[in-house]
Amino acid sequence: MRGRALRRGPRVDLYRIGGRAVAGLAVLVSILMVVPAFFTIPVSFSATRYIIFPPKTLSLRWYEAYFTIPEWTGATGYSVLLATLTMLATLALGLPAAFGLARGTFRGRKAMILLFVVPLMIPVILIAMAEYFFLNDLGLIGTTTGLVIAHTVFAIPFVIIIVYATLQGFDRRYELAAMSLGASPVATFWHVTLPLIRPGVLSAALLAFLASFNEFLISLFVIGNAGSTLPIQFWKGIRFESNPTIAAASSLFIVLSIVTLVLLHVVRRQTERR
Amino acid sequence: MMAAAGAPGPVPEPHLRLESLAKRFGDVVAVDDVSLSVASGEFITLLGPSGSGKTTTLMMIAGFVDPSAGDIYIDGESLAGVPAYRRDFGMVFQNYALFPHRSVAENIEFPLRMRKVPKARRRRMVAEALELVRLPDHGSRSPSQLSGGQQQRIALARALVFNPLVLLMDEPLGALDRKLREDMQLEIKRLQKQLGITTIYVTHDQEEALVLSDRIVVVNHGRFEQVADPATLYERPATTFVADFIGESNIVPLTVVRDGSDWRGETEAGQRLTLPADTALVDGARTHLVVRPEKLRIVDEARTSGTALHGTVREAVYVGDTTRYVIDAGSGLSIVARIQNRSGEMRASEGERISVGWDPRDASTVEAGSTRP
Amino acid sequence: MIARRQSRARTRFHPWVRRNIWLLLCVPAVLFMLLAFALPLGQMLLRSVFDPDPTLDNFRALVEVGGYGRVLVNTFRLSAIVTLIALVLGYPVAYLLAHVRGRAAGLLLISVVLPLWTSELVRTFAWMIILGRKGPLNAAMQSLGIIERPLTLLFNEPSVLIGSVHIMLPFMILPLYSVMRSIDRELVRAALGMGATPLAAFRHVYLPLSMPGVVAGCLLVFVLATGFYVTPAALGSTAETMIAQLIDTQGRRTLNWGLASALSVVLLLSTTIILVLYNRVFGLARPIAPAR
Repeated sequence: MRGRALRRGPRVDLYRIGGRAVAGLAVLVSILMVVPAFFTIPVSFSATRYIIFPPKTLSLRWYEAYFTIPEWTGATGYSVLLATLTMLATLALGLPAAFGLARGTFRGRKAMILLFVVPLMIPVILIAMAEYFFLNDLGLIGTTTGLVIAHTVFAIPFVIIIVYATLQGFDRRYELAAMSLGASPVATFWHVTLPLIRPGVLSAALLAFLASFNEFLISLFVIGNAGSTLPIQFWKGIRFESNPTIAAASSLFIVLSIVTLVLLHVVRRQTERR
Repeated sequence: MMAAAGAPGPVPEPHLRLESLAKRFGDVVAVDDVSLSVASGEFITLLGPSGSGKTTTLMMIAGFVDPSAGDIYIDGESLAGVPAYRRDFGMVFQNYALFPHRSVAENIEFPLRMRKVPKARRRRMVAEALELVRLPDHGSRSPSQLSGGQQQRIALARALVFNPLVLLMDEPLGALDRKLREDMQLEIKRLQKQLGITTIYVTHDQEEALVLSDRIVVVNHGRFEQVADPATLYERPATTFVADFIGESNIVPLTVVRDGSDWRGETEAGQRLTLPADTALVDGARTHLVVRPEKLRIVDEARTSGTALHGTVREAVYVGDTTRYVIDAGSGLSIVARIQNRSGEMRASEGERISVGWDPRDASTVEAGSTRP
Repeated sequence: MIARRQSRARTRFHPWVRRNIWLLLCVPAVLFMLLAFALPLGQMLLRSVFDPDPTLDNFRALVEVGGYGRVLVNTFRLSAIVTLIALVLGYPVAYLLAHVRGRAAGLLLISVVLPLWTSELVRTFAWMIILGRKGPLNAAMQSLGIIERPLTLLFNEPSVLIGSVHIMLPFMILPLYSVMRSIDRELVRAALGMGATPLAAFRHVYLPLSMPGVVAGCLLVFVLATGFYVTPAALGSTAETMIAQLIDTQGRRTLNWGLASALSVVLLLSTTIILVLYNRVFGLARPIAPAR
């Protein structure tokens, strides 16, 4: 019988080391993805007018500036208003459509899904151009209506995608049961469907709000000479002022994204507890 | 095909009536022109393999699926265009469909709230319903805290609490294990008798159908093959499909031939058998002789006169009270015989040539079942 | 125990409405998207060749005016480099995310999703701080004695690349993750069991299986990168100008909307080609669901 030599690996397990190295790289990258934004926070507490890291002395003067200078407060208020209106508009349009797409089997359904998803996958500058032309023809440049329309185009994919996915996982027998028990379609939606898909709807609403609140380029094109949204004010700050007020505003943006993430998590936990 | 007319007599004025009901999905015919009359308080089971159209029929009765043709009547009133939520039919689903965001009591209360029953009365009715399904202390729990059997009882209570005209059940025990299923069968039977509620029950489990039903509708390829009480269905199947689907049957294809002045049925192997009295006598007609395995006995070849088949024992398996024989009767025909293990019965072993015979009263001839058009 | 009977009224809705209810629910949103999105994009196409008479001057300018051509080439070159770096850095993260369980998985997911929901402006500004002359990187290198005086790390190609990759990483990782999650790692174990080295098992089994994610992630990142505005404007110099900035200066500032439209059409064309490819590989309608 012929003996067979076992192929042995090298004494030092290079593969193991290689694997560790790749995992290490992954962890490093994921840290590098989160950490940079947080550099803005110490700067926001600086006492000097220049952007220095780490700041030599600390103060709250840039927060005070942020909360008192009319340009900043006005822009913040306007952004909150726009985001709220956009959220309501996207829900009003997106919720029924998500239902129709998830439940219907009509022709053209695929094309419709495409129409709703595409704004998420094309360069934002194209949406900005399209909205400029659209609103310019209607004389809506610089109006709140115009901005809400433009933001709705941008935010509608989030609502459609999330609510659609939620409905795909929804057992329609709950609705059949409710109807067999005497609930009209409206009562069934209100007492059974909506409570059961609430997490998905809440997530969609949150993300639509945040998408509008963070949106910059489209606003820049359609806002004309009227006022400022918070991102536009922030941009002006970066380009022309460069004082730590922008850092204070950054902290606000960061807090908002963290709050959103926590809320999304809470909403998800609620579902899982069932 | 067999239809409602197959059960004459006991329905003077039907409570629920299906008339020439049909459902097509595009080119697919799911339910093909079926009719049925159901008496008040009757327990009817729609029994058939999956895809036979039994659930579609139930969904049309419930009002979830619009019929392509035909109509449904309740006490003589047409239900065409009446939506599910205005039909007052209770329904129980296979996976219970208890609302996960509501407590057990709130689930049962739901149909009462939809009917705007006053609060105090609602509470009393919920308590009664919980009592009815013997889970009086479970009202405040969440459905997910209950076992499968308990959930099914609550689903039953919820479907019954508003005193529906008809109770519809779609494979309600499909998700339960065997022991629990048997307990729940008795529970359902008890409740149905106690309340006297007209019930339409859908299942693919023939045993369940035989235990529960006043009458069984065997559904196949969207048609009602036979409507009959359990004993008739078992003893006198109307088609080979029914004979095969309910219990075990030997189905022997025959050709009707004239044999002198007599009529005989000839097997493919050339054996000539006595035809039961109800056979249509047309020369050359194809028919099937049906005999249950437990009706067969091993007999003396010499003594047979057209009520026995000859063949070789391929398999003899001892199963306690009986021995199960599989006999090759030639031309690809296999005969199954279950012979009681008691003294006085003849035995045989594998490879032996034997004859199995039957009492003429235990055999019948049937037409082939419906096939897809 | 008798509840009030439901009145057995027929349904109020016309049968046509009931049959088409799901389609009808889509109508408002579809009309909105056609009017406010698809139509204006078409209008832009027309605008690029009518000014107001039919003309190809705008496109001729793109080719003939040296500066414009350079911006176009630059945009696609930078986008390609960003895509490549994002792939190399994103692949291991997506792999870990797809196959790690428990707390670590949660933390990793946060690290991908949190940046996605933090304003692009803030993240760009953060790099301005970090790479600034008085920023932490220069300070650290000085205190370690690597350099004597602060380096200019900003307003050049590397700083644009760093900022862009940072913003694009989630868009690379999420499609990768969505594909990798459905890869059965038993297959890799089977390959190892048949005598493949870990590297060979990766190359011949895992990598091919993850390829749809690689292609989808790359196409998505490339498309989105070609539309970059904030990052090159804030972290780059005029040498790093990209199409979106040019569209802005030509259209919004100089009111030369014809040329801005022509530039947008070039972008739209490349986007369309890439999305058609993406659709082949991944299916456009497959929700990438960045929120999940």
